[in-house]
Amino acid sequence: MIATEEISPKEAVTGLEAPITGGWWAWFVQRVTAVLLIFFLGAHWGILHFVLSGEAITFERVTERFGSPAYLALDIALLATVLYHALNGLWVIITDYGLGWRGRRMLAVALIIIGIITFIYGTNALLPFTGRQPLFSWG
Amino acid sequence: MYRPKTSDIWPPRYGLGMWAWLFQRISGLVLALYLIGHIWVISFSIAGQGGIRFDSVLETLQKPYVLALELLLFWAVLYHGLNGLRVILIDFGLGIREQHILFWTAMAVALALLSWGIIEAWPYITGTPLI
Repeated sequence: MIATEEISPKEAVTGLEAPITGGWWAWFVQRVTAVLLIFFLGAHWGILHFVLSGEAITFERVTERFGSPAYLALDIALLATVLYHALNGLWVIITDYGLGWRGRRMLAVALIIIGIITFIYGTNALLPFTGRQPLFSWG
Repeated sequence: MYRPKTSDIWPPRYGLGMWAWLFQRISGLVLALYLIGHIWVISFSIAGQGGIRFDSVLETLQKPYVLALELLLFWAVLYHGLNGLRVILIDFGLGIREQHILFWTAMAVALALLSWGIIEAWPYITGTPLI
């Protein structure tokens, strides 16, 4: 089914030696986003923990923090990175349980669309903290 | 020539590496679900002028039982992140023979950080410091 049946442990290649294809890039970016997430999530949680240090999270305090362009950039970068990592991870898990080439392609397209919509959705939710009106909201 | 055997994917025959892989997958799914919930809750909370809804939603989210649940989230992130680092090393051909040592080292670091998290969160959950 998959190429693994022809590969002996001796012949097995490490990730960097594998042929460079679209799948190689998806794998490689998954690793890059993994390392980035350690820093981005560390900062996201670190700021909440060390800067607030027990103080309640309120609209006023969050707005203060989003006054800093670096904090806003961090949050948007975290959103994009985590969406890639999570959705590509879902693609890997689903395709592991058997999916034809057409199915894989359709799943990838669907996940990319979900990713773009969620990115817009998430960025929209940050707008009120920067003094702007959100493009859409409930109630 | 290596042909996959049934025992490779049969949980009672799992070696440490397969359990590590399975829990990486489960924690990944948990974190993906949390991510969807997190983005949804923040998007929901921004409605209304001056963050009135945000403050009431966040008040609920900072209740002691939610903080206790967040320790589970912290554990999922620690497991996924630290085991993930081990996976990256192995992917790049490093520490393949030491994969068991790497796994338990990652778990020791995860456990140390979780302990720190529990000590930090304890006063907000129970009202009294743990140590």
